[in-house]
Amino acid sequence: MGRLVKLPQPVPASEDDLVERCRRGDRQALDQVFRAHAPYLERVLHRVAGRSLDVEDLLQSTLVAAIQAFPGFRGEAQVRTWLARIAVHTAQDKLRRVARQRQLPLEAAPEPHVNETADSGIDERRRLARLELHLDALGPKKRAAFVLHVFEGLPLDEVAALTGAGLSATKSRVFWARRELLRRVRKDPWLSELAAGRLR
Amino acid sequence: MKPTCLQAESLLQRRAAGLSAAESLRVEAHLAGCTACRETASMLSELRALHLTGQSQLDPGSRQRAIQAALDEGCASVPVADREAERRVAVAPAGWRSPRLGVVMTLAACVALGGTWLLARREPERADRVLSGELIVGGAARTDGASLPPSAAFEATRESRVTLGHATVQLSGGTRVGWSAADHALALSEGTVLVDVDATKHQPFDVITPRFRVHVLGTLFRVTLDSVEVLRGRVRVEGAPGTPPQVLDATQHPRFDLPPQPKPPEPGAPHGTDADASRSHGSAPAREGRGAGEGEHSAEQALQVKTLGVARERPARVQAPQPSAAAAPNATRWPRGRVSPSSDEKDTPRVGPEREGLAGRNVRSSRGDAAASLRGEGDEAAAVSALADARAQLAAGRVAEARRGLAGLRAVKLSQAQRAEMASLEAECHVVSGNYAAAQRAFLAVSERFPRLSAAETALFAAARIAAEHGPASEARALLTRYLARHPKGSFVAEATKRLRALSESGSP
Repeated sequence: MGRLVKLPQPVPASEDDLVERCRRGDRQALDQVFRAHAPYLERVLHRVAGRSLDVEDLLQSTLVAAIQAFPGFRGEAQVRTWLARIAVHTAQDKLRRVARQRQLPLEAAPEPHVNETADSGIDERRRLARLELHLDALGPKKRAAFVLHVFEGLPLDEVAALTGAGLSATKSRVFWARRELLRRVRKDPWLSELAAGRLR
Repeated sequence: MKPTCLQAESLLQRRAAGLSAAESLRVEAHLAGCTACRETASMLSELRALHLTGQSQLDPGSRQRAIQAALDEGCASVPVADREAERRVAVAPAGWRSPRLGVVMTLAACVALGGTWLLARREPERADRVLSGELIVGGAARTDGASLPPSAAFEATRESRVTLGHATVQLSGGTRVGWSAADHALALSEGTVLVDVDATKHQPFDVITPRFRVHVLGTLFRVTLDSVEVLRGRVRVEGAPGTPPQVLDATQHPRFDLPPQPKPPEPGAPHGTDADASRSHGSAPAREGRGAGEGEHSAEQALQVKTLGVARERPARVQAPQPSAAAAPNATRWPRGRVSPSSDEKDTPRVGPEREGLAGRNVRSSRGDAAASLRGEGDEAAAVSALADARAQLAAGRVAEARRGLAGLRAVKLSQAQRAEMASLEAECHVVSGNYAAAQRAFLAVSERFPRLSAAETALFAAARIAAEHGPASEARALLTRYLARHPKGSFVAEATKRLRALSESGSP
């Protein structure tokens, strides 16, 4: 598909000017903003979507949505927060689609073989995969709230802003997500040993 | 006092974000005596560490790919508010991973298909040459003032400007092109070109990439005594009694009509860059205007028709078909009443359906005057389309067209939200026209007439900002204060507070 671009022009120093150019669809400005915030967005997307979805694809979808939403951006939030909000919505939207299409329920996921030869690297990957499965089972909203607050360490009000939910709803989601996750993890032989081993 | 388990739970969750010294002490004290919480804390900590081991960053190549693909898709049609800039079109290959397309092959294709593009003289009117920068032509470098062969492939080692036929072309560093003077065709195999075509030469100009081509056209328009209809390109209609000059565009606003007035036909006027419209009876046959607008002529004219700049087709027509419509971002810097047709929704970005952008924002302008089709119909979707059309016109700086579209909506039954949007757009017309006093009054009227809609907040802030930038400081202070009082949690609180502070510090009366 073709695109129309302007050749590079002197870039004004101020972020306000950069944002204004982004609002007008200036490709150079958009490229500059996206490059600056892409690493953070990738982290957010990974936290929210886990391994169910391809982060590169999610990043692309997020940026496309951002380009189309930029004209409506009024600067009431920082660009980074605004982009992260779009990223969270993108990831949650796709997770909902994946959940509808999922054919294998979590409970039917294969259990690890107890007599498999232990290899620290493989074990680590397996534990991570199990954790992602349990996080996915929380549902997109609870997963996002829990991961962003507990794992990523974002304050609750920021998590609420990113997910578009109220503060009370976010607190509630984090609370119930934590309870449910811990319940699942305690029943999972691959993950329950994690905590048991540390306590001894 | 030791925290209870619930309190400790809350503190434990926040551990990753960092606790104060006092909070840390409380948590540690509780954990020392509570096995359950100690286990929970440990497990959360381990799970967090495990989750952080998962790859969360793309490699630079994947990231770059995602950004470029998003820009290719999202910037598919980028309207420019600057009329002068509209004459400049830069074309770059989209998502092209293998730039080593044979330039010679492309040139051969250009030559083979050249017959279909020939509309004018074969010989260029001026020698092709390098204006600035450096090109590699046939292995040799050519710099300022050097001539270029009529058919050649060359590469720009740095940003360069050249004349090719009747166009001035700017090439970014690393751009590789092939040029055929006989066909007025430029084949782009790598990089970016910015092409400024001289419309007075009445000649076509093509830019070809492996995936599409851009064809700069002449202007085709039909003129009668009472109307002008543009079939291709753009013209400006001036001198109509009681009507300001108007721009007609083949895709968005192709027609102009006056009430019928019988007048004797006049003999033709001399040709030139400007062409005089005919006033013959009945419909005149369409005439090819080769950039100079050769319509039929008459002596005394109530209508004058001028072709404008580079007559070209809308960018959308040369793009490959896409499943999603491109948005028409609004270039105006004033806060908008809404970003979706539903005015009561918050102005937060939303995603879905996939890759189609915000709901309701991808309504492209339909052909011609959408509002005219609404009279007497009250069709919700058509009203939405007409409002979007007016918004797009305004974004492109076409105030008259936007006003006309909005005027057509007055006879249509609209929802309150749509009326608020219409009123906001009318206020913005004043802004774009530079009539700030009228704009401020109009925005204030919106805020008073629709107090419960989000448009009211936006309009009040817009009025305050106009006052801050163009009016007396006292009025700005009053409006900003009113905004903050009415919308303490509004979208513009931060900016309003900042502006109010600045006014106070400046000490302006």
